[in-house]
Amino acid sequence: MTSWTWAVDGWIVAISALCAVACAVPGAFLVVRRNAMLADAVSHAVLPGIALGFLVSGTRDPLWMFLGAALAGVVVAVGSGALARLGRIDPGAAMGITFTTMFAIGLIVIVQVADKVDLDPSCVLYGAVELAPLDTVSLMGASIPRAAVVLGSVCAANILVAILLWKEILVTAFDPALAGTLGMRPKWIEGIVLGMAAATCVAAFESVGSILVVAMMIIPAASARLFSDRLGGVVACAMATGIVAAFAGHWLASSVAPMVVAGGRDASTAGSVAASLGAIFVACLMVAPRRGILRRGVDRARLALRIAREDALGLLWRLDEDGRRVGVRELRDLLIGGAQTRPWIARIAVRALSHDGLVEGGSSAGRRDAIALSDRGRREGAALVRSHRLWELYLTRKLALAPDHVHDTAMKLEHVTDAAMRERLVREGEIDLSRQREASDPHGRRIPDDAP
Amino acid sequence: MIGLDYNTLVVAGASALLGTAGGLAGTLMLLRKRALMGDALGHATLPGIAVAYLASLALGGSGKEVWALMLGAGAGGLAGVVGVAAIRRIARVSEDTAMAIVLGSFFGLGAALLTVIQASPQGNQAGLSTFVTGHAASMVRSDLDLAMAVALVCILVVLALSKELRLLCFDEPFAKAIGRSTKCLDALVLLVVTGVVIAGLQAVGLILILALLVIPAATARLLTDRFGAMLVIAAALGAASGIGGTIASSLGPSLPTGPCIVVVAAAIFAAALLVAPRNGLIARAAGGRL
Repeated sequence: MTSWTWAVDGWIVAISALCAVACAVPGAFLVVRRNAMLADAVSHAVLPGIALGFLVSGTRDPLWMFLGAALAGVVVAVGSGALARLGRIDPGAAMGITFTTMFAIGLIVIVQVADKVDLDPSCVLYGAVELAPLDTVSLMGASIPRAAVVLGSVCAANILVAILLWKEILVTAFDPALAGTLGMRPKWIEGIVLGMAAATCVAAFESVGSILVVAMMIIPAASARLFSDRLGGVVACAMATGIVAAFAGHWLASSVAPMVVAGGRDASTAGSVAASLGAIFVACLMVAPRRGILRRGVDRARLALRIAREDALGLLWRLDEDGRRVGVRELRDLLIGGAQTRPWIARIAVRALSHDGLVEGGSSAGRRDAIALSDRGRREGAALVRSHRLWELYLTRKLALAPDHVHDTAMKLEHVTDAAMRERLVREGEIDLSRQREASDPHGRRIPDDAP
Repeated sequence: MIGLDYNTLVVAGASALLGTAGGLAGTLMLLRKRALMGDALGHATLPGIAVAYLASLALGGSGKEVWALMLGAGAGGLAGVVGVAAIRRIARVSEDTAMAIVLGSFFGLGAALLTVIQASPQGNQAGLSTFVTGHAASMVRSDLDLAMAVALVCILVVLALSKELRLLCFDEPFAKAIGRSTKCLDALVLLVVTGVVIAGLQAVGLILILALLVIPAATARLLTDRFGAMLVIAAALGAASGIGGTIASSLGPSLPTGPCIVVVAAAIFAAALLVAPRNGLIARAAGGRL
């Protein structure tokens, strides 16, 4: 286990974070444009690009590698689009054909030149951000890791382009057709953002590795998308998510991983950052405000509780109508058996009735005591049963349903029917208002009045 | 002269069978417009392999039991597929975003585990990294058997369910309307694809396996508009690429077999793109339909 030193680990986190920030703008665009797998295709092109750079220059000079990778990235981004159009094949398939073929050629070239130069495919795939702080350049008197300078420049360039072309990027992302009619040249804007994505992939391969840049580009944007519907919000959230993941990932790789595997060394930081991003996405999926799993669970439970509470009120009112009384336990069993309420929901619903003052009696002291509706409870129960019976009447009269087929439907509709709707049902159901008191549902039950 | 020794025959046979299986399974994926699912699935096998290795060590094994690694790969791939489906459904994002999320995070986890394994005292890494880019030359008889089994399953599935699969690919709502479970069919197709990916790990590796699933199928699509013909052509081209790639790799001193298979498949695709009878560029240019 290595101890955390800011001079080294700080730079590693900073480089990963810079990469995440640089990825945010093109990432958000790709996620909104439903073209996320392009990041994957472009990042796979880096390996053959580097091989190409070596073939042309015969050296491992970073500049040549960079140029080769950039060229290969553009070839994949543009070539797969052109192949899909020309060959009239599925865009995904065109992408798959282009980048696998290039990757295969890259592997062949690398094996061919293996005895002349050490190009390790795994280094290109996983990156070596751990070693990045050792390779420094001096900038304004300070010695700064080269990767930080490279990624910092890409980062600045991406943010600059985003600021200059924000409106165009925004409209093109959500509505390319509108962008076209506004004279914004959506094809050019898309090309610029794809170029941004390619440049970012290429700049990032040295540090975070060419495959893991996919995670950096897509996962923060997809996580942010759960929280925001605005492109600006998505970009900002994606940056923050990426920075958190950079920190968490490196901490996991350097401090936690060695403890898990006995005698192990540090895990790959880039891999851990990508895995952390996956975990962050799952966490976002849990807590997201509208689409989150927790939120939807709470909403569903709340709805079930409201329905159970209303069913209980209706049940008590009908029992009252027949002159019957039940205790807490019996009411609960009736809810579970008759209205198919889940037991725990039924328990809470029955307790909520007495808590809200809708019933009297049946306190916790005497569970077998009969409970009775309070005045308010009677009013609410009557309104529910009125909705139910009005719907039954309407369904038999207007939709010509058989009287024995309307109960279940009315059971659902009674929960979404308010006073105004009941008025409407009286009118539409052609119920004689003057003789409303005598009106009865298809089963001969009296329809209770709406409380004044 | 091509050396037709036993090893070359094993590699060629396994590659041909793998190509056949990839062509059949890939055709179904291409027509379902999920061509890139094979990529997410392939990348998702890496953490499965790493976990299987660690589990094997923990249980007193050597970590080199190929069946355990393959089992782990299959579990990882299936977890990836389930992950894509779950993310799509819960987060309501498009399928390509879900695939990129699974691909990135699973592969990242795999890479992290791999580096830990590599550095551990027992970890001579058991050649785990060969699964990433493949190492066809190390294929043995058992790999041939696995490829044969997967190819047989592919052929049987396609023969037994051709009517249902045709419906699924061309008219999903109708398939649903007449009571076919499209979910079960989709799951079956993905299971078959997982089999192909596992069988392909040794030969072409988890990155290039996508090529075997996409390229022969896309080539066949250029050559025919008929479902049955497309399946047959894709299987045949896959097999041809497998054999062609093995032969091509034996021509040079250090040509890796997996990438050679992919390049041969891509060359066939390029030729078909040019000269295909109706959908080829030349035919369309001549007919003014470019």
